[in-house]
Amino acid sequence: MILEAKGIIKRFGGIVALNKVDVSVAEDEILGIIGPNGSGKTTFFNVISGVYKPDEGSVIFMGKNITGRPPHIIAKMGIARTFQVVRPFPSMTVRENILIGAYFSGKHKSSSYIDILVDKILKLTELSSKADLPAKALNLPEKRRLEIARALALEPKLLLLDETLAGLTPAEIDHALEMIKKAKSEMGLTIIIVEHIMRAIMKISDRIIVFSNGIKIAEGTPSQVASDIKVIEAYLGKPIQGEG
Amino acid sequence: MVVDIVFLQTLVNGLLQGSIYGLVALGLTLIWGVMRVINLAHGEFIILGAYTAFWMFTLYSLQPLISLLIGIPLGFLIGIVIYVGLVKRVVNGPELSSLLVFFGLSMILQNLMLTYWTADVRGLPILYASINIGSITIVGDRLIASVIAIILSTFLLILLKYTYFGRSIRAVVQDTDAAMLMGVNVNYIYAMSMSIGIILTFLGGILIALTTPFTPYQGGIYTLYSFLIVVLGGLGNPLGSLFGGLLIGIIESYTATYWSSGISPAVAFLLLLLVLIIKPEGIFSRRR
Amino acid sequence: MINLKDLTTLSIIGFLVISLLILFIGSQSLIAFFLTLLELLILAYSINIITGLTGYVDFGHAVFYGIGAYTTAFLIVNINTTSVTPYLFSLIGGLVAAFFALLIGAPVLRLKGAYFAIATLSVSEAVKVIISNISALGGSYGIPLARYVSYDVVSAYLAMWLTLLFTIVLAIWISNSKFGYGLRAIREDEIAANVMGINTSLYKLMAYVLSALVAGVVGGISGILYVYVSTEYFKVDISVKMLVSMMLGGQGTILGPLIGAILYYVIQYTLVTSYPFLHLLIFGTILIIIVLFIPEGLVGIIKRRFKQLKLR
Repeated sequence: MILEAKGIIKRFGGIVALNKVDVSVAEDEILGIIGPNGSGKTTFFNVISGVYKPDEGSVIFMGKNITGRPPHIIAKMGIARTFQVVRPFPSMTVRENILIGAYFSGKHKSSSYIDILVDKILKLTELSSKADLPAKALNLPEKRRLEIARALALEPKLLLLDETLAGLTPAEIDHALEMIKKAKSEMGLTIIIVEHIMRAIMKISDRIIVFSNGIKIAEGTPSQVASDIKVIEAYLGKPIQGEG
Repeated sequence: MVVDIVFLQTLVNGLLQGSIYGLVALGLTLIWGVMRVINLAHGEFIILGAYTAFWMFTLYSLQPLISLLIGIPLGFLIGIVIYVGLVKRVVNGPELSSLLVFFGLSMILQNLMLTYWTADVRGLPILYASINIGSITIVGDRLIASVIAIILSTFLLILLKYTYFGRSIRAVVQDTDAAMLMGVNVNYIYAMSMSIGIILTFLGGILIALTTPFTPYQGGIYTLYSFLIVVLGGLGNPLGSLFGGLLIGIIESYTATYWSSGISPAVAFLLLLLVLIIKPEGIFSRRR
Repeated sequence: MINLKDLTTLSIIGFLVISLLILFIGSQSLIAFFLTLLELLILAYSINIITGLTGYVDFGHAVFYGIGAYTTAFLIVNINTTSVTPYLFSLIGGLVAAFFALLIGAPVLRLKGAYFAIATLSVSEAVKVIISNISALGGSYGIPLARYVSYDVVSAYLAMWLTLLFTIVLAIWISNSKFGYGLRAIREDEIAANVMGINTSLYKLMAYVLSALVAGVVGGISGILYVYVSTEYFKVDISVKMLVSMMLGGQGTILGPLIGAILYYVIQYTLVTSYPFLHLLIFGTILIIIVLFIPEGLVGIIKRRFKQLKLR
């Protein structure tokens, strides 16, 4: 297990966003997380990446306890993430955006290594032609790829993708999935992906976890989860008459 | 028994002064809370109001209370002009812009006042008799000013709480985009908030003329005091501003009586720093 | 085809050479003119390190200038050494200012945007009031230094020039370093910078402390130059002067503070001499115009022109 989150509780005022959540991630797998809006998926990412401190529970990453540690330390330890609403560094060029990840990954590397790494990532995410444009000049699919590129520059062991396919056309989605798989094999990643687009996440995940109202209501292979009655209820609501 | 009287007198003075501070802070919290712009010229508008009262009295023998009536349309007009001319352009921009724009405005206003009205200390003569309760003296001018400040503040609070207009303002303070989606004409609310804010500031200045002497250089200290009160009370929280004003009035009063009046600005600033660091949403704010 | 980097290098070297030459061949009034300009330049570069690079608007930067001045004055009055140049004390003044930044930086840099600006302004004003109430530091009269140092334009000029040289080298080093990249990332998006492995709290504090060091040193030199130190050194006008100069030129750049300060200084100089009573008013108007219409400063305009020329 590369990541083990046990008993995570996170409250915001009176709302319990995560209620005793246990999630384990095996090395090299692609774990998908689905669930209705507000079910706690992004909060979970925020807890793992250090943006939030959980009120209770622990997060162990590669044997080390990272619960509540600051985001920059967790990034250096090997967890990288993208944001649901893209946050590139707007006035910096694409190349500079990626360089930030490479500079601050905490791994002391020579500048030639970094140059090679950046070029490799630019090629992987198909942004080589845009390398010297400011990030704000990119369109949405390109910005999404930049988010991923920047995260890859940290050379992480675990990559968290937060709704990285939202707003893309079906063709763009397939393209993105291919790219993610390629990045995974070329850089040796374990991936947790949060998505709303069912078709995509079913296709790419080895295993799926379903959140609803801050708790895990189902876990299993994509086909197992798809036929799980609780999952269907979570998305469609309980039937009107009594039981069943 | 002598100490008790000093203590009570200081308290009374503090409350009286504080209610006026609360009124002018109301103007600032409205502008800042609604439009998120930092009006660094706030103090200069107060002094402008004070000068209005002064000249109306000196030239036309108009009582300050009558000047209040003039202050309303005058403040409204100035508010609209400033909004359309300046604020509208910086409302959605970076903070440095609005800070500098208003600082520029404060320089312009201060310089204008200095040029045309000189740096002479101005004030109004004592207009109302004082009341004595036991050994406590309540200065008449201060009492009247305080009462009016409370009336105006209450009026604004009622406006904000019970009218559609007031609710629209509160909606914009909480979430501008959502308010827009709900059909609120945000531009109109901005303009109105600016105007009402300036009116309150102006009227506060008139009341200050009634109680304290002033010069064009004093704008800055009033600006910073108002910021302190707004931060203490919570941004966009009118009731908080009133309580904050009273609190600052009391603190200033006690500092002046038991330490020195020269040091009270420093006490105010240090308090501001403490609040910003410990609880930036304000002491009286209900949100965490 | 000239680019921005070449233009920057050319301008900086050009200005440094010219300003040094002025000391040897210039007239008294020209030297005095440049002396004040040098001071403003250093201050503009100083605030560029914190505000220009991280985006945190320091509205009370004058506090470091004043602390540097007062520390230097205090040392001059109380340590009577004729063998040591008083300018050494200005270095200590810078260190004391930097230490003060270290103390207040950690809590104050946790604030965002306008709150940070108000907090820094409050610090500056509070220190001003507190010092004017301490008689050991001269109270509201300040500390006159005529008995201890003599008015010497030449050594002050050299001290300023050397400080400017050091400051520019510092600015260039920061700009090209990992540190500088990190600061710029903080300005672009602080949360993203954090998850990218940048220790934002540490970086912000380091920028703040460095900027304070520079401001403190120049405060000390000014104190010696004017043979007088008072709470005037803490005035908000000085903080705003620095901010506007930096903004006018273009924040976060290396060329920006240079051309911004020069332009500001020239404008202010002409206004004060032509309109001694209305200069504040005219200046306030110009400030507003700058902020509303050329927020990225002159360097921004230059960059755009270069882009246009490239595209042709």
